[in-house]
Amino acid sequence: MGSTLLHELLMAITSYYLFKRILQMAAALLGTSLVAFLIFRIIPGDPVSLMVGPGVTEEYIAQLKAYFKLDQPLIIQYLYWVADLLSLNLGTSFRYGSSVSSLIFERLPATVELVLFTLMIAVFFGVITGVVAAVRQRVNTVIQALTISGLAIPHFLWAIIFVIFFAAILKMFPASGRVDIGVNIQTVTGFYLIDALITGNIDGFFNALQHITLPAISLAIGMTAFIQRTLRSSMLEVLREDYILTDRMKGHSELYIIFVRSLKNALMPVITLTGVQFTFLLGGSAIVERIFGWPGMGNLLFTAVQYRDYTLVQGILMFYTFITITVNFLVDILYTYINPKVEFK
Amino acid sequence: MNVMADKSTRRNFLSTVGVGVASAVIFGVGGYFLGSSGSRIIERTVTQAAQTATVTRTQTVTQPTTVITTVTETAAARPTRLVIAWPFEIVTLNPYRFSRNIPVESPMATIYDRFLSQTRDLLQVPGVVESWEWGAEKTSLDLRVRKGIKFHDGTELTAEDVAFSLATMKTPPNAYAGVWGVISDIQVVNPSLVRLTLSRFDPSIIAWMGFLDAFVVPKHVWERVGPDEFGKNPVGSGPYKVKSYRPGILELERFDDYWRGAAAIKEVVFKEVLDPRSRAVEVEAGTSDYTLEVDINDFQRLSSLQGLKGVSQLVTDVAILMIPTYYPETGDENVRLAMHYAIDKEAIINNILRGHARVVHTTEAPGYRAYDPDFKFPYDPAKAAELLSKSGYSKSNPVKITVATFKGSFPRDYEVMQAIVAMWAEVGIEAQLEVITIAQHFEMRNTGKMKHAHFYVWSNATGDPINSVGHSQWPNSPFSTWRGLKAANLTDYSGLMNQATEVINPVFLEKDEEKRIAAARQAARWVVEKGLVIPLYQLAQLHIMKRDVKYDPWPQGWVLPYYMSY
Amino acid sequence: MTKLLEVRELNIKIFGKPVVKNVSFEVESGEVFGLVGESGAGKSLTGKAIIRLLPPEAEAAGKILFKGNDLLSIHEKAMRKIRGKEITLIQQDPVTSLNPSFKIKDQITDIMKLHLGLTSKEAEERAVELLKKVGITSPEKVLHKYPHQISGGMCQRVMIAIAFACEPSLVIADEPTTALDVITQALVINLMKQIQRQYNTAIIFITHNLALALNICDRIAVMNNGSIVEVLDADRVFEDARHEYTLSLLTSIPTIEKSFIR
Ligand SMILES: Nc1ncnc2c1ncn2[C@@H]1O[C@H](COP(=O)(O)OP(=O)(O)OP(=O)(O)O)[C@@H](O)[C@H]1O
Ligand SMILES: [Mg+2]
Repeated sequence: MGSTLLHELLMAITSYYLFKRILQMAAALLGTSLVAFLIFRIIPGDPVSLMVGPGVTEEYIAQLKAYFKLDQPLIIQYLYWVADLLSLNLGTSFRYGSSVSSLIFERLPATVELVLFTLMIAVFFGVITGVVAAVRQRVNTVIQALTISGLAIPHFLWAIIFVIFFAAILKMFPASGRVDIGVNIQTVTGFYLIDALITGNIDGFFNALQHITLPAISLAIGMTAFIQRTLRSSMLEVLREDYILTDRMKGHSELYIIFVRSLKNALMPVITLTGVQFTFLLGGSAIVERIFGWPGMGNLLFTAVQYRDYTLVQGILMFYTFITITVNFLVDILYTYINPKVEFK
Repeated sequence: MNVMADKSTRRNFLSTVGVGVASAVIFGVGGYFLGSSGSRIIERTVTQAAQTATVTRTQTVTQPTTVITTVTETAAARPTRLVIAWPFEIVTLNPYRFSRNIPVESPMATIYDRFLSQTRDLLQVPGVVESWEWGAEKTSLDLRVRKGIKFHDGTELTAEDVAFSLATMKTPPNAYAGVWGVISDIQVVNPSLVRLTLSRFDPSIIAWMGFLDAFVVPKHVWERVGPDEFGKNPVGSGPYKVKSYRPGILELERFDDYWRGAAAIKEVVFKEVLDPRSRAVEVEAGTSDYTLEVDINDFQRLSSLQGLKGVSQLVTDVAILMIPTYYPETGDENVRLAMHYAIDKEAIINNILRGHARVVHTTEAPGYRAYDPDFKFPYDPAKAAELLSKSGYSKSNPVKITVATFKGSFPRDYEVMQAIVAMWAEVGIEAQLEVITIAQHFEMRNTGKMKHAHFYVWSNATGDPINSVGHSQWPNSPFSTWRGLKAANLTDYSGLMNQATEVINPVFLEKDEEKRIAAARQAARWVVEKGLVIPLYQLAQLHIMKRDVKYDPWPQGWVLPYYMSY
Repeated sequence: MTKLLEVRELNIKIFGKPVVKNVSFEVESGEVFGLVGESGAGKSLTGKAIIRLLPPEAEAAGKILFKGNDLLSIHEKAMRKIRGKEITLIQQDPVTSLNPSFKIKDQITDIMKLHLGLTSKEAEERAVELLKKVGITSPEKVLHKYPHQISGGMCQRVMIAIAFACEPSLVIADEPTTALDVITQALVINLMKQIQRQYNTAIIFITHNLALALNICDRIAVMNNGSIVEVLDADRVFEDARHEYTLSLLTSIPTIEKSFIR
């Protein structure tokens, strides 16, 4: 299995497809760079006024603007920035004075861990409920009802409900943070769950698991509902296909038909959806991160926007775009692996 | 969104919706229940708070206005750790880099020492700098560095470190480099004496030495690791040293060799929790021992809980209305003054802010150097109407203006402005509210695109009039409303700009401190009498802590674990 | 010959609407039995009812006796032992009747592993043989391909290989050649007959093409509008046909084909 995936990857790399894909990526990054650059320069807000306190002189403000090249024409500012980007330098944050890439990488693991964990929960429950809903009409009624509330209530509302019920009233789960204070998990990958496991820190693992549960579930509910619905309808379609009749006529059991023969075909739209959701969650988890005091990218992005930290906002947007493109690419590869009909074209 | 993506039967659909609605109702009712039980508690405690308030409210900023406690003290083994649910992001510990408002710098003030310290009365007193002395013409300043101060790595703090810190601070892009730009030369005379040469007289430099980024870093460490790395593994001389620093969590450990004496609590943790509701849950669930800047409702509710107490502390934040005079309407002094007379500040404080604020009559709050206890600007709607009628306005023919406010940036900001708009309507001022962000506010102020009036909260933890009436009103300051007028070359309909410059000049230029303060007091009064600014109230900061934590919050808004104990 | 299958009074309703009415016929072991009728006559439903794979909206009543057991009333578990092993089904469109997500190898070996208890290796060896038997010249290559990578004719050969893999006693071939071009049709038909003779398998050959049925079937049942109008010996159709509908079908066969049939 792994070798097949590797093989597909190698094929992709050696093919013309990849070349085309890289061109697409470059175009997307260029587009984003323009948008990211312009968006905060068009809407009002002056980062320099926001960063200096009272008591500075007009000359100093000018000096600072010159330092950040804000006194230059927009096009020149843009070119400076792009030149930096090309040398893989995201620049220096206005507000924190630290390098944007180090800020991002400091905060990224928390967000990515949350998002991946969310996806795992959502895919697991989404697939199970989706399949059950497709094959059991009675259970389906209940599942559809839950799905409606899952979709109707936005994730931050779930977050608030969970914080109040499970953290404040029942005190079953911690309200915020990634681990309890005093629990030390040695950093290897930056993902606490994984780090705790590979360093054999079982207590740390369960502590981190407790902390990630509520935020991940709040994010996962809507997604589970989405996956459930998508999978259910694609499953219903697949189950009516001739080839499933063929598999049935061979005498396979119903479970095998559903979970092996049908699921692999029905999963196609779910994979696309999950890929989209991953990149969506990266940015969309911000509010939930805030509610659960999750020290991820969300908090960083909030303040970056609030204080018009141009370089930081731009850096984060570029980074997200890069991730989005990469994830799409990986999804495509996964797609061809699961659905051999799709080839790199 | 199409709920019926597949071919369910009609009946199925109905029952599906039924269950969906039912579950939504359950949650809705749950939420309502929580909300209503919360507000019942509030009503109870508010009366309590009001009673307490009348007793403890004083004219100085040094005392908390209200202390709400409802449980009796219980004795227990003293904890060794205190966790603070912290309302701000903790991103770098480099003390110079990022710009801050006051409370944000508390972790820094715990790790580092400032050149000078500040008392609760906002006075500058010796810190790392043991004494200071102005040279002739007040363009040079001698700083004598205290002996025997140790950095966390055990090395001794010397004049070299002080000089290095000053030199670093004044280099862009460090956030306040501009403030220190006035220092033209730094000279280490001997291991305990630093001499500064100033390019011009700046009366606020002493205040700045005990303020914002005026922290001392060890030269040898900084030079070895560079600013970014220093921001991750900082070494200071403050009461706590960094035990571990991960994104979102700063764990500190008592520094036993602290020169003022070791702190009472062994370990202190700053935990980043940006959402006010979640901070409330943190202390309610007991995972944090302390938090601040919670919602007023949460404050009332939590204060009444077993094991918690709430402290409402007036701080050096003054809410004002900034009035640019580049509109004919606000160019008219009658209109400006009527706007002020028509506002019932007491009512706003009692009804909207639930007592967590105090009326001010100038930009200078009690405790500020230029506070003027004799000056009062009364609430007088009749007078307001009379002034308006002089300019031909009345309730039936109101003057029409637009007012900018924030929504959620400061406690109840939007609600307060709604109330003010209603009060104005009573006298013949028809105002339209426009919600903006802080970033927009700066942009509008700088480019001469302000509305007729802007809600804003002006902080001045130094207590020096330069940082209140000075920078908010002086036409030469880059922060006053005049800046936009000048930048966009607009008409000053009040014709007061030159006079304002003259009146406020001494605040910046007068070398005799007593005369300077007297002039500032005059200036603060003058700008209010001319209607160039409408001071509203001084804000309180709301703290919630475990019942057994002993701590008096500081009027500057800092949270200083060094002064905490169990 | 012994009776392999006996269909008695089979009635099928879809959403309550009768589409197959009182259908009865018998199939002997080793016999090729044709089920002929125009589109919508109910042929496919009858075929699917026998292997008990009707769509959920269809309801079947009556008796389907296979080797003496009533397939409509036995337990699903027992039915699964019959499907694939005793009775198999070949559908009209070979391309859509193979699972696009699995390699040919998976789709042909699974049935043998399931019913014959073969290991993967044994099953693969046998699959190679089977593919050779259905005229595929490089079976090892084909085994490692996905359905969309081979032609329609090739797919149908694979389906035939699957259908005969466990040497079942009855194959229901539902218009197995309709989707193929004329030459491939002839090849596939010959192939089926060949294998059928070798294994002595009974086939229910469903088609709307009477000429084709006459060519390969021993007996044919003519279906119209959900009912069987008459059952005839293939050799004697022209002589014995009485029913109006059969006659109309016969006249529609071109004369050249008639001579070919003889
Ligand atoms: N799933 C279904 N839902 C509704 N009606 C159906 C379904 N399957 C078959 N029918 C109807 O039942 C009747 C018989 O269908 P069947 O498929 O058995 O016809 P057929 O004789 O095989 O025709 P064809 O030559 O077109 O395959 C047709 O009228 C058809 O419309
Ligand atoms: Mg058919």
